[in-house]
Amino acid sequence: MTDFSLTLNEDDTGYWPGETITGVAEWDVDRTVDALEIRLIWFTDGIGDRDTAVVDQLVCEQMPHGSQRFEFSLPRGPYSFSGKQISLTWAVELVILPSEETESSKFVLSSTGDEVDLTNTPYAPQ
Amino acid sequence: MARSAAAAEKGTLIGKIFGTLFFAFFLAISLGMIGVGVWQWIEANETYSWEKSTCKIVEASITRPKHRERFEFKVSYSYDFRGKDYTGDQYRGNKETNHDYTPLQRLLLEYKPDSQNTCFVNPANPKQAILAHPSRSSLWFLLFCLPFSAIGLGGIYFLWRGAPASNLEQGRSYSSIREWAGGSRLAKNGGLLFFGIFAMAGTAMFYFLGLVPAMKYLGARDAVATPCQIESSQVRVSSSDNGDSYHIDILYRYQFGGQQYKSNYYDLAGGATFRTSHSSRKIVNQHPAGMQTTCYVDPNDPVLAYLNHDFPHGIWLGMLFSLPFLVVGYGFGVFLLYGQRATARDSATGALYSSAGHALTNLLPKYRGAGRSLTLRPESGRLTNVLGTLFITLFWNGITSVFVWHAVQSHLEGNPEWFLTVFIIPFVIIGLILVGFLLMTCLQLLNPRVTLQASGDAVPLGGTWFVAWKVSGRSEKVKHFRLTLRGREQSTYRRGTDTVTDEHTFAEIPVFSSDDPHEFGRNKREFVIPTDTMHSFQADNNKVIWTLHVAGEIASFPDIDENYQVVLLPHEPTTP
Repeated sequence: MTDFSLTLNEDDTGYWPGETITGVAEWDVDRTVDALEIRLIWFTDGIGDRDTAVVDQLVCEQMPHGSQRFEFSLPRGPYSFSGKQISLTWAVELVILPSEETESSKFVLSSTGDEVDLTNTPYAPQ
Repeated sequence: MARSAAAAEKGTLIGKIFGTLFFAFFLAISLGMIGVGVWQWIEANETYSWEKSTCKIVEASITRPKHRERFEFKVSYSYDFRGKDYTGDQYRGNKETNHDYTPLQRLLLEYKPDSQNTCFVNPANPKQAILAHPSRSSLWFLLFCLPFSAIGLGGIYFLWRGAPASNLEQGRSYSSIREWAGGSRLAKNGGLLFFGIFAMAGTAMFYFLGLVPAMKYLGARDAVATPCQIESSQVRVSSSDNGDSYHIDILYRYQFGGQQYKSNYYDLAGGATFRTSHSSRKIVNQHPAGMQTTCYVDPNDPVLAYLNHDFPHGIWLGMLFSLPFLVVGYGFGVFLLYGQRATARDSATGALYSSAGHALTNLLPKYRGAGRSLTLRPESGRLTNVLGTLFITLFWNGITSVFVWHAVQSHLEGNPEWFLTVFIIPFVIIGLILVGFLLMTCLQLLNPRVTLQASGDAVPLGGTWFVAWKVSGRSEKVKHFRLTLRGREQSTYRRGTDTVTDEHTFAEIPVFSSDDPHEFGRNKREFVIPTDTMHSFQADNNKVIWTLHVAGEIASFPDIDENYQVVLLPHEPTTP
């Protein structure tokens, strides 16, 4: 049986640009795997085709079980936001290769620590 | 979160079913054609193992049975195989027929009665012999069909492979992100294949309908005027789904270098005649059977002759006809190629981030500078609008006019093509709307010009931005003038084979508004960019775009309506 988890150190899921996100990944794998990766990613959601980027990543080599602390410095952007057509989400994910089973934790990146809400803005067209 | 993911799922299943039927049809037709091609190739290939023998031509002639459109090459020959005498009448195994006399006349010259030639005998059945091997060109035909099969198969695969975007929201493995990105690349390759076929078709049409007749014309400049006599004269009608097409079929004989020849080539245009029934009949009536006239013979190849060796103006129509295929094929192909390079660049985003940690530049639109005075550029210039609209209008109406001309001719000739006439009406209406739009963009050239000077075309959220402007030209005609900072979301997605872009304006921040020409004619504003909004963002399929929108209302004339792209940067880094 495969057991793996990923936990962020902060309870608050809001982060500022330039801040460091930390946490720990743990796994217990019952079969041979090539590698485990911890990735810092963002992806879009909505009516448009998905855009995604792997911003940073760590490769874990302890097998078949182990744990790894991670630390990623967050970039200036793009901010987490939610609009009528597009939303952008940040996450840290633990990926088992080659099966690509995944465990992830989402968080918010913005200047306020809150997702930028474009659906409820004082500047909406009249 | 974005509500429209659910909307995108709506009706997906019905779309997939229809899409599957469409691509299955593609696949079935192409597989059927491949089957026929393979069968023909196998049959042709068998004859290449037959044994060579010497044969003597007994008789050879070209006939055209009454009420038949094609000429037929008939031959009979005797041959000896392993000590036994046989006779044969097959040239390549099937009847050798052609609408044109000339290719068959070449055979007639090659297989003269009493001449000795090589033939190929089936050792398993020596009664079976041929003078030449059948063509194995069906192999090329397979290459032509394979992309269609790939489109059919690929279309069905991609229709059923993808998962709704919202699955990820519901906790689906993020590994799907990678699959989606890969899928997008494959879809682009499929698109390249699709538009590659368009480009190939356009190139082939341009070659056969434009270049070949043009080269014939150049080659025929040295043609020798020779007396000739008309043997028969008729209009040949070919019917297809696209309507009837008319071919001039005048058979004439002439002597050149002591040898008698025949030809039924009228002019140099070949297939690119695009003639109506009326004009074809007129030419045929001018060349009745028995008439003595002049034809033009190629002295280097006297088999080639034409009754009319003027420049065939149908070449222009042939080239025009191929133009949409060339533009769509090469235009979209290049666009997709460019897109693929952009994707390849973006796939390196991770590396940029991991090394620099703060690299954001390739997720922002290009900008020239922040904090330095510069003149803003409109998203689309007025002249560009006119030229773009002119191109689309000419393109659309150019194609439509061919069919309109055909329909009008049919009415003038008293043989109206009502289906074509009714069918073409919506296309003509769209063409007229385009003409109206073109006129409007031309009138906009006369509108007052707005020159915008700003403290950079990029400014951070919460930053102060300075903008000054001048309205030149007929500014007194402007009733109301407005400057607005606009933010919009733009999403691009594929729906079947189409790429669709949707936009939604989420912010309109007034910068300036006035009815007084003295006030808006030349002015400036300094304002603070809101801090609680989203910065500019530009990925492959999703964008947040900010523009400074200039609007000027003009009575009884097209309004000023221009956008100047500005880039809102994330907040300046500060210590939290």
